[in-house]
Amino acid sequence: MTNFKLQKLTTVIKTITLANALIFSASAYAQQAERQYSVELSDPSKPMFLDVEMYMGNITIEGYEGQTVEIVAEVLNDFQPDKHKDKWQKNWKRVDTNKPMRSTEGLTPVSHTAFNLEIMESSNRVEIESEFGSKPVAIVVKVPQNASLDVNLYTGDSINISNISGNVEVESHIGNINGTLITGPIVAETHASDIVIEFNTFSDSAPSSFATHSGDIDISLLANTASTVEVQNYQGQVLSGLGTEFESVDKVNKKQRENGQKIEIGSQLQAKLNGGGQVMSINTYSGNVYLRQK
Amino acid sequence: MSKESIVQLEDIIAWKVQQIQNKVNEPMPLPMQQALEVNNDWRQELSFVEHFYTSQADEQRPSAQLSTRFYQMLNSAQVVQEQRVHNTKNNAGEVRFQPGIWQAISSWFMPAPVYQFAMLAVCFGLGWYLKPIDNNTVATNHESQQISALQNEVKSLTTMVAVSMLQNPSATERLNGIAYSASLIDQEPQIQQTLLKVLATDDSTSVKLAALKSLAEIQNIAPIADALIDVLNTERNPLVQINVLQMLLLSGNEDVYLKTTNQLTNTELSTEASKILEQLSQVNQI
Repeated sequence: MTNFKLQKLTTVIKTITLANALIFSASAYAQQAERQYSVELSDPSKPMFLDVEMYMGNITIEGYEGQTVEIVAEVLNDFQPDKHKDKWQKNWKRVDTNKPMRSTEGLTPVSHTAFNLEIMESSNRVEIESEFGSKPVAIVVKVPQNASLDVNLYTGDSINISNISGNVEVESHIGNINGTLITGPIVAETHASDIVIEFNTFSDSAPSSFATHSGDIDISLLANTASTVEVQNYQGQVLSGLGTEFESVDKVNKKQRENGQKIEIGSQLQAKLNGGGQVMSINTYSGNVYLRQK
Repeated sequence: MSKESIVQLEDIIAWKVQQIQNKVNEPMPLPMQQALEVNNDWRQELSFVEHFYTSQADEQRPSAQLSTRFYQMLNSAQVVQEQRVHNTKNNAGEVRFQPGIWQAISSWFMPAPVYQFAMLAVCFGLGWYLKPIDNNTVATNHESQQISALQNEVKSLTTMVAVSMLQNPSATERLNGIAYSASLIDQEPQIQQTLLKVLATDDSTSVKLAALKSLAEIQNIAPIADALIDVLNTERNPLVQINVLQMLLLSGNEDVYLKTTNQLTNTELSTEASKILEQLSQVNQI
């Protein structure tokens, strides 16, 4: 057996063991509301990648100076899905059972905080998963500042990300996305929730993009940010405090037309901040767009 | 013997010549006479010299009339000779200024030194000027082939890299891939097909919108219109549906326009997309 295969097998065993241990730990201490875990990286000298998949709850990710991944998980006993009920009902048809409750006479509710949280590490890639059926969980994850993130939340209050200089990809179906001290590039998407991002500096290594159907998009940029900001919305407003005027991009189509060309006027708004730079694309159908200068 | 040695034969001859030329009127000096008396050879030699000079002086001369005719004939001969020389020069001038083609061409290669130098300078200059052009022409042909090959290689590599980026699990990388492949969207069908696949299957709305924006740069979208219309049947995001509809309806292609307006009855369209389709259809009908 080659060294490579041995190393791979060791990594797999390590991953399975860690996952089982954490699941066991979470179940064994189900009555405790808060859990803390520390995950060592395979190679702390290299950037890490954090992948979070959560069905219900809140996610907070903070960049810090350390070289381990510190996780705090807490069951949200007071999580009230009903406060999102309007959004649920607006966007999704729920099954109405109209089924009468059975008799509860002589019974008292049992409080339980058991939850299922899987944490896996392999080759500097840390995965945290909380699947459908688990109790709502709020997790706070501290990662090295240069970590790259891929975060998905189906429903919850919010995803909060701060002080991250790596790539950020974040999606929330129901729940706001809040980012502070973000360098980017960042790709963020919601269905009906807001996206609020405060950039520290703006990375020009790749495009950044924000998309939401009916949520608002609120972006704050430093005054010296060089970027080409492209905004497309259909029913909402665009409010800008940036020093640069937005212009409608007139597109000339030299296509199969009798007169040879066709001009589309104002299909998209564009502003070149400080002469322009890496593209920041903002797309919303009915949400408002707020652009602020820090 | 001593006297003889004093008087030399050359001295006796010189004195005799002077006497004949009347430059000496005195009789021959006594020592010379004594030497002649004792030397018979000298007397013969001196007799020959005296005869030579006295016979030349006694030669008969032509008459004055004969001399006049002679000089007239000589003058006439000189005039004729001068006229021949003059005619020869004139004839030579006519040849020079009315050359035949071959002579003219030949004369280019046999010019006077000044013209030769000028011609050399011109040829040098012309060569200097034409040499790079010729080299450039040859080099350009060669280099253009190399450049073309390199361009194809770069295009292939760019396509390969772009396709690889478009298949990356990271949405950021896929967005980067779309931006990276933008310059080749109208040239590389493979990139078009990959973008259509991205549009149909990608998880990220941002990536889909970026792919649509890139596909909108294709000059003739008719070949991909059906694939775009298929997206309308599978895509659930209103933003993507709206952008697809806009792209199809504003393409300027009548067939594509008709195919798209047929989607008015498509129940898979979101309310927002149906509304946009209806509005755009009415605007275009006007």
